[in-house]
Formats: sequence, C-alpha cells, structure tokens
Amino acid sequence: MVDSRLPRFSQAMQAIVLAVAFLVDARFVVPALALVLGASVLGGPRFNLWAYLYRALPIPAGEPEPAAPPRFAQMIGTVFLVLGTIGLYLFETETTMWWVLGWGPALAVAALSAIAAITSFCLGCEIYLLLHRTRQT
Amino acid sequence: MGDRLAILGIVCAVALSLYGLLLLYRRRWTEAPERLAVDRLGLELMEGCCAFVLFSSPSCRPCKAALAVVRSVVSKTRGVTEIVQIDATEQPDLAHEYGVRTIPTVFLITASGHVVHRWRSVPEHAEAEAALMSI
Repeated sequence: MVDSRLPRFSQAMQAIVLAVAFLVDARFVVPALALVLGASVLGGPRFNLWAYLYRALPIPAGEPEPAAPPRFAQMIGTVFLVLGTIGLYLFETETTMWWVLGWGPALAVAALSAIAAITSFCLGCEIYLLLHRTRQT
Repeated sequence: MGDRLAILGIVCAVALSLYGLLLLYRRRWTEAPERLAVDRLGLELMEGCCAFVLFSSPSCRPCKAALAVVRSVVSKTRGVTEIVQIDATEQPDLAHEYGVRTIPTVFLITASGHVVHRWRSVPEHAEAEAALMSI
C-alpha cells in the first residue's frame, strides 16, 4: 500500500521538472528523471526520490491505496523517458527526429503526469487495471 | 523559448482534449442502466423484495468473492432478497445491454427492476449491506 497523495505529488514534480527542462533545453534532465523513476520501479518506495521530498514537506497523509498500479505507471514512464533519452542523444539537435523521438516521449510523460496530478486520472494505472482484469477473466 | 512555450501549450491542449474525449467515452459506455428487465432475468419478485444480479463467468475468481459477499449480506435479510447469477460469456447480449464491461458486475435491484446500486468489482460487505438497507 502507498499513500495516495505520494503518486500525485511525484507526478506533479515530474511534470514540472520535464516542462522546465524542455523550456530551457536541459536535455540531461530526461535521462536523470528516467533514473529516478527507474530506481523507484526497481527498488520500491525506499528508492523513490520524490518520496523523501514528499515526507519532508508538511503535506497531510492521504488514504492508503494499492502500490502496484502507480508502480506500473512509473514503469511505462521510465520506458518513455529512456526512449526520449535515446532520441535526444542519438539524433542531431533541432532535427525533426530529435524533436519527435527525443522530446516527444518526454513531453508525453510530462503531459500525462500533469493530467494525473491534477485530475487523478492515471493512464498507466488504468492500463494496469485493464491488464489485471483481462488476466483474471 | 517562445517556440518551446508554444509547443508545450499545444501538447497540454492535445492532452486535455484527449482526456476530455476519454471522459465522454467513459460516461457513454459505462452509464449504469436505470432498470433491468426482471422477467428476462428469470426473476419473480414480490412487492418489497429485491435481488442482487451478479454478472460473472466460470473462470473468474473475483466473481466467487463477489458471490460470497452477496450471499453473506443476503443471509441477514431473512429471505426477502434473491441472488441471480448470470454467466456473461453465455449471455453476452444481456451483459452488453446492461452496460456490463467488466466482471464481476453486481446490480442491486428492486422488485420492479429499478437499479439501486451497481458495483463494477467485488462489492464491499458494508457498502452492499448499506445499499440493501437503504431500500
């Protein structure tokens, strides 16, 4: 189980960090964030950088919720950020491929994270639940 | 910087539009029906009675848990509540008609077929009991 506000907080931070990185062209942030997310997916909450920041801030605790769906969403986010990293460092800067395959996946993660943080609609979590239901039926 | 701001704005607009479309899609396809046709479910309910209608399939493990919850709740009502189990794989048309997209889906209906509550997963015991008591 995980505090329901922690995934929302992590998603908000991801969205802000990625949007700022895009605006100031700090492409190194994409692999850095992939590492942060990847560590959280593989190592659990102990390796979640945002969890430490979350606990340090005076945010009241939310309801406990299952940890598996947000973790699956983080895994999808990591995959997209890794793809974005490859695109950003493989293609020549300012080319169409660089924009589409580099910043494209990173911005997709930023947009979905922002939507999840604002509306609590987590696409990765929905995919997890869909797969879970399909496996059960 | 200006170009990037514009791109970011477009990305946000596209994402929000897709989210809006998804909400519309969900509302359209997952709306609970107001009424189930009692006769089509093979039910004959007397006035004041009600029934739990459980859409399930033979291989669905959570459906067994849902049935156990419903049985436990019904056992406290001294026979005025019935349980109808419908195999959604055998009656896909009926499931489709009543907006059953996932199993287990449980409806609590009155004698006239009016849907009091719908659960799209295993119902919580306390919630099912409260819904039943509200009739």
